[in-house]
Amino acid sequence: MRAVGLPLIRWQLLALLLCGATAGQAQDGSGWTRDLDLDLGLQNRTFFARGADGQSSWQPSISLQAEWFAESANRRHSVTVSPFVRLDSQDSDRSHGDFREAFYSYIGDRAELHVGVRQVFWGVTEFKHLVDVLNQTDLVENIDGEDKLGQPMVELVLSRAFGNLNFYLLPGARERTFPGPDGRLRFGLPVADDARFESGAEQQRVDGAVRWSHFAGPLSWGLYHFSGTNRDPLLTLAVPAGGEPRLVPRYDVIDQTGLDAQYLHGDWAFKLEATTRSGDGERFAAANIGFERTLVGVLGSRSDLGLVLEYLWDERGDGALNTIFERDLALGARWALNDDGGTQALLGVIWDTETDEYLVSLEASREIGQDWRLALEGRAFAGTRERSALAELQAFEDGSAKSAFLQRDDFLQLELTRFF
Amino acid sequence: MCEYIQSRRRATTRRQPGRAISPFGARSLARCLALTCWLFAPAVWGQDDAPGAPPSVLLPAAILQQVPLPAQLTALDPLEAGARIMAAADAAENGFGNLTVDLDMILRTANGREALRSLTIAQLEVPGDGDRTLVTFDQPKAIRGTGLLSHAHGDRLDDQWLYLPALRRVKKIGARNRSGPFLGSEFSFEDLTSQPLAKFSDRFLGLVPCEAGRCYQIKRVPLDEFSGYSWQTLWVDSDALRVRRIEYFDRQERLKKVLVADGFEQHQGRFWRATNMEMTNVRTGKSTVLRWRNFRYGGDLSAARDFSVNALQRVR
Repeated sequence: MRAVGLPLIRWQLLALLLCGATAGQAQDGSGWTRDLDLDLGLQNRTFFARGADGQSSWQPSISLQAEWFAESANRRHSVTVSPFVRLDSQDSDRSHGDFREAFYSYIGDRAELHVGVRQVFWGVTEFKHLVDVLNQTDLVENIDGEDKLGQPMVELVLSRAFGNLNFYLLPGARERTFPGPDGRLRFGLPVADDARFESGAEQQRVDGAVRWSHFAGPLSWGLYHFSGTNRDPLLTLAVPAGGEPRLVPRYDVIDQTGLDAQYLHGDWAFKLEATTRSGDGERFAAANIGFERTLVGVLGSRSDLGLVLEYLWDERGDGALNTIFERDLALGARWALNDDGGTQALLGVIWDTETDEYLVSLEASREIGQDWRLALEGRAFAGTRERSALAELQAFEDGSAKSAFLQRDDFLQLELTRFF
Repeated sequence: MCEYIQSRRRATTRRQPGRAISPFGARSLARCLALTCWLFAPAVWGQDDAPGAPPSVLLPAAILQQVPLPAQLTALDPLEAGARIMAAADAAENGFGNLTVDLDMILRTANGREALRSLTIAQLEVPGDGDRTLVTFDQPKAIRGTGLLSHAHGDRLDDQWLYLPALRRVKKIGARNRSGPFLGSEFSFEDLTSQPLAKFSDRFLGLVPCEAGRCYQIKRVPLDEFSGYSWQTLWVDSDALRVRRIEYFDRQERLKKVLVADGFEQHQGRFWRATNMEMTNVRTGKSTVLRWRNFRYGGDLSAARDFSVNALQRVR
């Protein structure tokens, strides 16, 4: 179990449940309103083959996320606590818990202050979230990078005529979660627990960020600078004397400036994310650029179809060791049936234009009644062959086949969620 | 129905030269949903529609008097008459300040299967600009915490943002093409939101008997090429200028949907709201019932604090 403070979280969740806390809204004499939501998820991943080290092709797990929210009568003060826990039957490192959020807010007329553990998302593109840097990725949850660990922060938001100014003080960085030996979607070599941090304060460095965001008619944008421990580790090969080779995550201190912008025109949305970063090797730039076109009532039906095309670019090219997307074209189709179950599906293909590797992704969901949701997710990796643990690392480092380590890990995931 | 409101507003705005730009151009989702309601009169008023009944009980006399008498209406150009009727109704609509209301949408299939969507809609009148609206989704629970923020503008496309709680992501979304279904219901975005004023023409067809007594019948033609309709026919009661029925004709000029409303309430001594509305798709037999409840006026709501992108991210 890698994530910080898991035992504590588990007990709190248990306590929350055992105290007979029932989901729903309540208001007591103090004038505070309280609200508790619980999401219970039953998930199974079915891989098309056993893992290279014989890992199971069958990976059931169960997750629970709670959100407790309380707000004062004048709506100036609020507290949000949102713990999450997953118990995985196969991978003990995927059994983990985290406070997704746990913070206090003061809401003024033109300013907000948030103190505690929070999640903050920046960005506009669909396939890669380049500018989104404050929260660490909870990689064991999903390889799409959209699940995040809570980040301790003090956030001040100033709302002015020229837009929003957000100031962040970020004490301490979280380590990325990685699958364990019995897990899937991992390198052949194990990832070590003892990550290295460039900062003298190690993991406890106080990072900072400031962001300006605004919109004018069809154009909206955000511009930020982040200075601190990179959330995006480099995995370095370490061979201890007399031990097995392993990968050690290295977290450098970086300075990153980023821009995200979107322009809406009719059915079209044009999107740009761009960053420049220094601190982990030479300064480099990266960008995602693309569009989404939405067709309403396609072919005379009730359905909407969204077509997404994005180009994912990294100046470092194959030398970019913390991404597998550096010269990639991504194509997606988002289909919304507009039926009474809210059925929707997103099919995506990311193609590396230089190595011809590709990744196919499917996400679909529908609601069942008022309280349930069924979600299907699938990923397939192709365009290169499997290799031994060291050879796939070599192929990753020289950029010839960065997805070699995933070639046995095609899977379908079914998740049934009950909302309380 | 909302285009109906807009064209009434357009007519009203013409009479107020002090407004440089049409301030009520594009109407927002909830505003239209909610404000349409007051137009619907209780059936009982229709039955009581005896000559000489005091109209001020229903609406301020100054507003009702903006509508020419029936004899004068028929003498007018039908487009002018339609504009005058709607202008009068529009005048009664302004000045509510802010309103928060809960809405249940019951989606029914032809064989009677039902699905429920619950939302809360907060709306704020903004002097000199269009309204601001924040819609919060509560049911089904899979979409709770999702938010939709609209800033309506008279002179340009609305600004709209969607908040997706799973990713904590705010997405600014296009506001042009609104002919698609809203939350899988028989209401389209277009029925619930609004579009620039200059995109409609309204023709007075005649004074016809209806369950309210007498109704002005109006043919509304959207000039917006993105509209899903070739025209709509409205029944607007003569007592208090409330829409009782709308028939929607698709681009092939075939009847597609019928909206009927009842269960009317008068709020703040002035604003009429239907508490029940039913939209039936005559082709598929599917229908959507809207149940409005828990109207809260005069809340402590401000544009910056409660109707901003920051507020959208605080939606629960």
